[in-house]
Amino acid sequence: MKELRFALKKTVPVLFAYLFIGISFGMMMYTAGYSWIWSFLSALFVYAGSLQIVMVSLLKAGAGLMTCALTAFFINARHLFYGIAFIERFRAMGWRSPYMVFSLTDETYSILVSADYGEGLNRDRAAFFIALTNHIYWIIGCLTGSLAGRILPWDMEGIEFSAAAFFIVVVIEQWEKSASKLPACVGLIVGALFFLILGPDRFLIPSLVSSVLILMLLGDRIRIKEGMTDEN
Amino acid sequence: MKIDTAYSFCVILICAVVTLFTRALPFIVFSREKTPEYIKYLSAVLPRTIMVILVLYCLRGTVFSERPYGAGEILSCLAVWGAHEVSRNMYVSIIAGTVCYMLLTRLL
Repeated sequence: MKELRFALKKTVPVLFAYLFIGISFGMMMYTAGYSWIWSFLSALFVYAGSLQIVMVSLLKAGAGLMTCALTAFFINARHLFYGIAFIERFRAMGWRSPYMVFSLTDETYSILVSADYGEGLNRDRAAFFIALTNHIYWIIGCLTGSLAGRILPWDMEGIEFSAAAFFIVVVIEQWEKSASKLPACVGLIVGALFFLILGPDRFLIPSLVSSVLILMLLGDRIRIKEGMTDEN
Repeated sequence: MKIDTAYSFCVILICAVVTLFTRALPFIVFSREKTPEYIKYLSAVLPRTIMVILVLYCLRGTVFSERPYGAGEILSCLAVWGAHEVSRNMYVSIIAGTVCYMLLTRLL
């Protein structure tokens, strides 16, 4: 199973972040009075880190179902932009394709857009194992927090930075590999601008929408630089 | 604490369905046989933009208005960058940055 080995290697950066955030979630659920089965169901079917953590507050507050739906939508609206990179790729993946769509988290997305599969690997199987491995890390994290959160003595505060560190590495490697630096620059300028104007809680979606528009406007320049041809 | 099973189940179900919806929508919208040209273009360049924004999103909790003015986050990002320039090894860079962050948030 060289695809599984490849996936295990590629997902190491996510392992620590998922275990830590998952454990935090599990502990919050435990403190709120929910047994491990609830954490397990959430990890299995919701599978969205920041939303699950907010979900605990919603549950505790007894928030209305409409409020829950809107909160979930706005927290996860960034995912609307992830699928764009994989429309054709996932469609070609047959029975694996629904799971690939379901499990497209921030971390899985960043591994998939940066993975260099090389020769001799079944790309579809490797991508599927990457998605599945991350999901399993997440489930293990959430369960551990629920079952053993109280007895874990270690202070691991800050280990969630490993997710940011991983994203930074992906940015560096994409920067070096790509002919046009404009897409990355657009992200930085637009993101930083909206961060300053709208603040940390509201900058994300406006940044993503504006970036798509700007990339469309810069389309011709970037296409030429990237050597993209118009046919097919 | 007594939990309301039916209510809790509904909340989790709604979160699951809405999350799946946000992930699936692009695939539903562009499900027709021929993928438009601009989607092919975006699928090539948009990830590079999104990854930069995702870094900012990850660091959105940084506090710049009081001591240590986000120094922990900024220095740790630089540590990832520096380590990656030197080592060219993803694992080394991530560990260096994370250890740096965990130390700085405790020391600063």
